[in-house]
Formats: sequence, structure tokens, C-alpha cells
Amino acid sequence: MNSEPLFQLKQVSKTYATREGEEFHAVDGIDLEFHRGVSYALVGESGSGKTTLGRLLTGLVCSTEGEIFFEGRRLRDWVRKSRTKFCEKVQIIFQNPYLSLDPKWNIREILEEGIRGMPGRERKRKIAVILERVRLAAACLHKKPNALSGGERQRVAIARALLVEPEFLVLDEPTSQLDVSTQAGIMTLLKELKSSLKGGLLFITHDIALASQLAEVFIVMRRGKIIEQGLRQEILLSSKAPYTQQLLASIPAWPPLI
Amino acid sequence: MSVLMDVKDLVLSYPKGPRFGPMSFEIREGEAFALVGESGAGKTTVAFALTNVLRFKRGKRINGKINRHCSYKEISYVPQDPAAALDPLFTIGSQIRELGCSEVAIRDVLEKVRLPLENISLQSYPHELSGGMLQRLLIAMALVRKPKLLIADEPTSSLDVIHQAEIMKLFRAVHAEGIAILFITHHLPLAMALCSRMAVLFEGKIVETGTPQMIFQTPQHEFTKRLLAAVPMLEVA
Repeated sequence: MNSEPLFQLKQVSKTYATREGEEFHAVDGIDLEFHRGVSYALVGESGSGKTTLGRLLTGLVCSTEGEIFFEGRRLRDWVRKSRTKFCEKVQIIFQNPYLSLDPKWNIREILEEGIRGMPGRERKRKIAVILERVRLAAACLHKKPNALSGGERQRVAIARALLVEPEFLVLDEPTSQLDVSTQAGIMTLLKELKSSLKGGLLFITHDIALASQLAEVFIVMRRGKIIEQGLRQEILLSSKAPYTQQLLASIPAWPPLI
Repeated sequence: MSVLMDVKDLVLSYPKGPRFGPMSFEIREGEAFALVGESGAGKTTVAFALTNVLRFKRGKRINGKINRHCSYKEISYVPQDPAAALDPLFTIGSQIRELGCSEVAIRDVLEKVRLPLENISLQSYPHELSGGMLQRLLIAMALVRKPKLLIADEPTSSLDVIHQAEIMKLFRAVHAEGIAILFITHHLPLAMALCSRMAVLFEGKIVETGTPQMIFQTPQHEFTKRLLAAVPMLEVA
């Protein structure tokens, strides 16, 4: 971790106005660094600001205060001046596969969107390769998202993100809307894909057991602030923060205590 | 333990849709019984049949027998999506009062689910409460009629782990009071922690029934084995 960080967050805040005209700090003065080739997990309860942080990193929202740097350059400049280039480097997979795919497009159109600049033959070849990697049948290319199951849709979303060959991938609760066995399938896929991401990944979840399968570094977040950060073993075995202990205690026992 | 609900060869079918069953199981008085399966297996349809919701809809067919040893008034239902279960146009106060209970009973039960009236205003609308609070409110509304059987349909699937743990604690307290629980879920660890008996539902059929211990140690059906293998394990090293 001695090289220049991929992402650098300096005193980053994101504030939303509530209905009552008050300010709500979804992300509250965060200092963080994301290094190349490391898998991060961002854990915390709902409302802790996990998704907002993921959206900040992917440039979908801009910080109200503080600055985010990507490869040493301000993220604002990336987004304003070279958005396409930034999107080719950082991709996001959203929580809800029922909302993240355009219902009017068929799967081929959805997958081609990010690689339109490529010659047709090359595009076809790439899509065929990626479909095999995410284990989707080629027959689905002509279907619309509503003809696919939740797990299949999430595979399409993963394929779409990977087609542009990103360096860094943000996964925002990618399995929370899915059944357990579908979840297991997606997790197996993500474990396989992990090695192809040069820049690493950020796995956002409230499920620590799931996060432990994919991530090496854990970031615990609560009410917009970072509670603690550390290697997986440190956080899971010897965390001192009461909130982390509460999170760990909330995991249902498995194997069951019988 | 006497039997509260005895289901024999139940078949549920929608006109042009899926057909579930035949299935047979029984729920005994005061026990926590889990119905485990994936989406589309027919879990919610079974809950609707047991609460007599299905009967009134045209075109749906129910075959087989449900022998109830309690009245429908003694069965309560906690739905999966708390936000969708309440009317967004009415205050939560007016929706609780609709149940026809005394203010004292309402106050008692809200206290029991740790949602005391001092903390929430009965004038607030459902969207002003968090997911965990809404779920507590719905459990309170289910308990206010003093049921013998509480049917909970994936009550924690829309909650994070911390709120999930709190709601599960609440169910354990309800169970300790002697109220029978039918716990419907796809989450095996939760079902095994709460219940003393469970049935595994696969493609509309019950493929396995037994204690959590039996099902964990010696699963018989392929689907049960797959379900057990799919539970994420905590990897420390």
C-alpha cells in the first residue's frame, strides 16, 4: 500500500436538505484512501451513508464539502471534463436489479451502451465472452429485462459494468434483493471476477458474513462517519469499537447452536 | 401439545398461474414453526390460505383441508413489506384504532414492542417511520388482538442486520408468552435460531419436515442441501 492511492477522500461531506428545511449529513467529514488492488468492504446499518459514499466515489453525486481525488486528479474535474473516461475506469452495480436496467431496451442494447465506439464484430465477440463469464445464455440478448429473473438481471448488470473493463468496481448491496441460493451464485461469480479488477473493488453491504467472503479491508460506517477501518481479521476478531461489536453480535449464528 | 392448525393435502392453484401442493403439516399450540423456501415456492400463498384471505378472491381454488382449532380472530398476520402494508394516506393512529381496541391495550402492546407512544406520534404518517419502526408497529398491530397464532411472512427481509436482530428478539419474547408462530422465511439461520420444527418448501411441495437439528445434520432432499450450502459463512482468516 505504498503507491499513490487510487481514491483519496479529504474531509468529504454530502449534505441533503430534509423536508423540514434542516440539513442531513449523509456523509460527514470523511478522510479515506483506497489503494490499488485491494478489496474493501463498507459495512453499517441502513441510513449510515454507505450508498451515498458509493455514489460519491462513482461521481453520481458531488460532495458538498471536501474533495475526492481519483488518480491524483480532482473527481469534479474528471466528471466535468472527461466523464466517459472516468466511467471506463470506475463502474457501479446497483442494489436493485429491477430498477437499474432500462425496461424498454433489450439485453443486447443494454450491454452495448458502454462500448458503442467499438466496431460491430469486436462488440459481438466481447459480449459473447462476457456472457459466458457471467453464465448467461446468449438467447437472453433479445429479451427485455422483465423476462429475466432477479439473479439474471444482476448478472446482466455485472456484465454491463465489466464490458468497459473497469479498474475499480463499486458493488452496492448487489445481492440484498435476491434469494439465498441466487445470492450464493452471484457471490461465486464475484469471487472469480475479483482478480480481473486491477484497481480493486468496494463491496457495500450490511451483511458482514457476505463481506468477509470478498473483502480484505473492512470500513465500518455509522451516521455518516467512519467508526473504524482495518484488515478483516482485526475487525472480525479484535475490534474495540462497540458499534462494530454490535454489528458482529447481530449476525445470526451459523452453523446453528443446536 | 394440542394441534392449532392441521393442514392436510392442501392444493392451492391460481387460474392461469402456478399450482402449489399437495402439502400437509401441522402447527401445534405455542410452538414456533418455520416454513422455509425460496421466492416462488408458495410460502406467501400458504400464509394467505391459512389466514382465509384467498377464499374471497374469485378464480382461485383451494383443495384439501385446513382444520383450524382456533378462530380466524385468533390468527394474526405480519406482512413482508411493512411500508406497503399500511395505507399511506392515513395516520398510523387512525390505522391502529381501526383494529377496534382500547387505548390502554394499544399503549400496552406498543410498549411491548418497544415503540412507546412518547417516542412516536400517532399523528405521523407511515412514510415518516423507519423500516424497523414500521415492522415493530405491524407486530404490535398483530399482537393487540391477543392471537393464538402469529403468521410472520419474511418479517426481516427488508431490514439490516441490527434491526433484524432486534425484531428476532421480539419474536422470541412473543414465543415465550406462549403464542404460536408460523415463521416464513428464506433465511435458514433465522429459522433455525427461533423455531423448534421446520418444513422446507420447494416448488410448491414440502420436501422435508423436522427439527432444525435433523435438517442441519442430515438433510434428505437435494434442495435442502443446496439451501444449507448457500448460507454465507463468516471467513475470518
